Amino acid sequence: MSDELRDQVAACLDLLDEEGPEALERFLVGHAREAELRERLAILSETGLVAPAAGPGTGIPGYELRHPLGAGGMGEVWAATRQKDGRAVALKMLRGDRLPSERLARRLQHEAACVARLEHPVIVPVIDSGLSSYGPWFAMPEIVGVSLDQLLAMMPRSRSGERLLAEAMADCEATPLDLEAELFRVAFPDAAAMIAAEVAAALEVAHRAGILHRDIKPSNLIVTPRGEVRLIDFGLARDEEQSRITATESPLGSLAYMPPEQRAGSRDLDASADVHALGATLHEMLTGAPPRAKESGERGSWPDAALAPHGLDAIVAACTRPDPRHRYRSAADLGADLRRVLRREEPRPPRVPLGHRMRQGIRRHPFAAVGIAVLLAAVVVAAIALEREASRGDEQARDDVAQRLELGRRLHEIDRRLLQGEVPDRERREVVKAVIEVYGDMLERDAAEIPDEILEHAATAFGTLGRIQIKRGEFQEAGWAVGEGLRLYAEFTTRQPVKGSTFAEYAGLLRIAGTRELDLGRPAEARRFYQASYEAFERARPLLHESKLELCDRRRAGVILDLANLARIEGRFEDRMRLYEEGRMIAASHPALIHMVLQISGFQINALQDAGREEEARALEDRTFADMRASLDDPEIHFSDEERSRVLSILAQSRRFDGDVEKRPEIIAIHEEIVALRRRIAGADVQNVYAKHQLAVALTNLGSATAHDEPDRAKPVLAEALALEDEILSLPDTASDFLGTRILTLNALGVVFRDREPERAADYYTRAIDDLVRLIEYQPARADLRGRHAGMLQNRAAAWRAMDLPRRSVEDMVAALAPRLESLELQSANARLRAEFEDLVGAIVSEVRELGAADLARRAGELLVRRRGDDPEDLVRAAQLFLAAPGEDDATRARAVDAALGALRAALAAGLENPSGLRSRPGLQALDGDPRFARLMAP
Amino acid sequence: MQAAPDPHPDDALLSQGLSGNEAALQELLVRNLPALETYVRLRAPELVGPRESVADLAQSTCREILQDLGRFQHGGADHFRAWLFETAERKLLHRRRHHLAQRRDVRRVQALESEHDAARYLAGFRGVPTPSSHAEARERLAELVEALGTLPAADRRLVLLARVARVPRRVLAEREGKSEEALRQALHRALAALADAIAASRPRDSS
Repeated sequence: MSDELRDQVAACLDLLDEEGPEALERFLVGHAREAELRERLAILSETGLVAPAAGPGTGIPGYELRHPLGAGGMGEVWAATRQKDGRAVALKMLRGDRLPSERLARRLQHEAACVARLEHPVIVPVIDSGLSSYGPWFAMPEIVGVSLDQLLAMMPRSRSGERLLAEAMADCEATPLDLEAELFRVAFPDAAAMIAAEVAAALEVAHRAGILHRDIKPSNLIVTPRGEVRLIDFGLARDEEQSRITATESPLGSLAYMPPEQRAGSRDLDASADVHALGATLHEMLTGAPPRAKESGERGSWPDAALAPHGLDAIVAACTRPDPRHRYRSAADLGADLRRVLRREEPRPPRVPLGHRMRQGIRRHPFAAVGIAVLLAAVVVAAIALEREASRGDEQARDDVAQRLELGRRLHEIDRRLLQGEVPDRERREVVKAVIEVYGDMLERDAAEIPDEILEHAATAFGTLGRIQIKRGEFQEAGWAVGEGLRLYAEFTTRQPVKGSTFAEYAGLLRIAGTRELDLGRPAEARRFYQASYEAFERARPLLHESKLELCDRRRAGVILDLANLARIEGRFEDRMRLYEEGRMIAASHPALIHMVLQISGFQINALQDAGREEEARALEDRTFADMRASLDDPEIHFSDEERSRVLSILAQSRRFDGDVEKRPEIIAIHEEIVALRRRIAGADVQNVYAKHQLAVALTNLGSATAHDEPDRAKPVLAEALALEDEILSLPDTASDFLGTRILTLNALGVVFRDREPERAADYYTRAIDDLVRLIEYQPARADLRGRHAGMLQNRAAAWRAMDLPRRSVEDMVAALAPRLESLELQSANARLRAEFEDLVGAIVSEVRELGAADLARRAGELLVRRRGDDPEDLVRAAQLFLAAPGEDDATRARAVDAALGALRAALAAGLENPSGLRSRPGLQALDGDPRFARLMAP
Repeated sequence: MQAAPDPHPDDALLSQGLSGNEAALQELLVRNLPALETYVRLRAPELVGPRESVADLAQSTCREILQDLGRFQHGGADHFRAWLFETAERKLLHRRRHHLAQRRDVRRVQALESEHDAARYLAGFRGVPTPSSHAEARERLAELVEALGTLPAADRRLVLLARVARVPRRVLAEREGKSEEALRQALHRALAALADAIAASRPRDSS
């Protein structure tokens, strides 16, 4: 950045300081570096550091400002006097120390409009509003009182609820505010319940009017000396009809009180969001900190036990449940329960069917009668009994943390032992489900409040459950388990001391989450998870025992390969190669990871091919192929079935690229070996969907390798693959990867039938194209899918041709142009894609000429002009297309010539090399004799 | 139209506090607490990492102020404010030395914290939209902290005292032994450099 720009920014700040925002605006308009200056000023404004607090730029007519009462992110509030009657008011206006913002002005006006629609003693009314030269403002009666957060801050935080009253009274008396109110004549939990009940009543009024407050927190509640509460600051309120005020859905409001859906930026907030925030506020009143206190750096120290007799803990828990459906349905319901507590009646919070999904799972899968299961059954039965007791309202049992912890310990220990012996997933799953069942509602709290040991048990349990569910194809359930696992691990790794295995487990889950994001077509999110996973592995490493390092590094290198795969998808060649190198270095430090080293070499060969560096690719292939073969045949090196099949896959893949006929038998033999290995792996764990998927991949690869030359051999293999894929894809919420494999299988089946039964081949291609279109919608950023889409259309074109449907054939080829171009645009450096695109254009030129399809020629030419208007060679290709089938009648021909000349003119303007060579380009001779072409070619 | 400014209400609290009224002093500290917490939030990541909560550090600064009140020599509430924030800075440096003495790499821990946060906020895995917007807010804070770290120590101190602690320029100039105009120029140049650093840290649009 230049010093000059910096000086200019400083000058702007001077101006803002001395003459205010309007002078600054005048200075900026038309300034040579206006955009950069505005950017810098906006940055400073966002930080809140810009310009000194100077109060509003101009006065508000009819009001005399006295002193500022406070300022927030959006506006500031001043104590003022209304001149006509001397009434003390609070004036809310835009902050004088920030640059004026249209968005904030609209929000302030909206706040005034929302409040004006509400009538409730707790809601401070708007009594006047207007627009000053600086922006909108509105007036409310000035409330004499103290905000609840200040009130809470005055209270000692280490005393139990019963002793608060006297202390609070003593503190308050010493302050300038006279808080003699009867508020504190009752026990403090009752006061808290009263405050919350009153706010709930006000919220009910707002909600009925279709307005959500969205920022309930102690600082927005004012307690008056008479013990009344007032709800202020509807600055973030949103009404149902109004379109969103915020340009982006950034999570407005105060994090500590926000429900998860609001933090996530959800657009679909409802009354339960305010219920959550009020519950969090009540929690703070009772314990000294909101439930998410750890995030905001505070932590309550008042014992939760103090709340139990009042039943308020159950109310708070019901308000702050993560799932909005499990909270109070309305503020009115919450208010009713609070009033029950005040009447010393039992509250009736909505009951969540705790871990109901878990229970269903256990019922669906009764234990097998093996030794471990008997023990398990006993523990789970005990856990369920515990819950039943709880549902009868037996508080003694419900709060018996020690009892649950004891059960959890036993289950955790069982799980640990299962992990050591190779026990079927089915049994492990029951154990971890039981762990989750035992802790039940304790896990619904904010993770920061869960004791260390329980956190460890539950995080491990969720992580294991998620992994097992993914293996079994229970993707939706797995999403929930992995998400919970991440939440708990994130907390657990903040507790000291952290074990290396904890980090490693956490890292593994983060990786799964990344893969899931990728599958959902969100590469940026996937990258964040992968990077977090890698960092967590890095943190795990120094803490791990030496014997665990190899496993850790294997997984660490695996994440790097995931990141490299992302780079491949996004066409970042350099990153991709760098990551392969990094992965290789990690793997190479362990002799047992030789399969990874070999695998990475294979990936590098593919990358070099993608970059058009064929010679390097070939050289690496020659070197690596020998290494791989030698390693696989080396009796000293042990490969598991999984490892061997991975190396073989990459061997076959890297050996395939140059289409050398002599290599074919060798490649087919490799694929057969892989299929045999994959059958064995899948047979050993029939529940494992991924193993089944890998078998389908192996079968498809074998089928594809033989489809062309030995279709009869390929047919049953591909049919088996297709059946497996159909079965996998019939599972709900399947990973999109599986769809990708079925596309390849369908394509190979198309090849099998292309010459013998082209109609059937066309059907397979059509199914493949349908699947591809779905997949592209799902993963729009993947360049390779566009290429595949185009390839499939071209394959179907060949089938139509074989069926003697030339027009349909050319239509498919023209349709293939767009995805070819898209893949090229997404990965412009990929030489292979470029060659494929050029081949396709050449084929279309000759096909449209043969068919005389002027409309298709024009469509293809126009697409090129539109999409490739800055590439002179592609513009020449467009001209060739226009002229390839110029049409029958004069008018159509003239239009084709015009279009071709236009494309050539653009090509010359775009810097076509060797323009004089145009005359000799195929297809352009049709322009010879056209005076416009002659003029164009004149030097 | 604007009313003449009232005498700074904190001056009265300060003088009551100095004459032994602890409640008044506490009220004065409470008023300054939000700014103090912001100050600590911006400085702590570099100095002590996330090992200590912002609230604890701010509270501990307040305790120290209460204990050392006798050492507060001169000036009104604005000077008190400057003293408060300088005390916070000293406390942070002291805590840093403490952590380093225990051979803890606070910067590593900081990275760890952000990772936890990332994971916590990226719980969008469960089928709801990923709260990238939330992460963005966090990134903004991290961005500011990092940019502050690129400023020379004197500039950083100036920005924080003038704009976070809101110590008036006049008071700062007095404490720094500079003219108010020189101080203003230094402050604005420091802010411009800060904006530069933030702008430079943001990814530019690339193909």
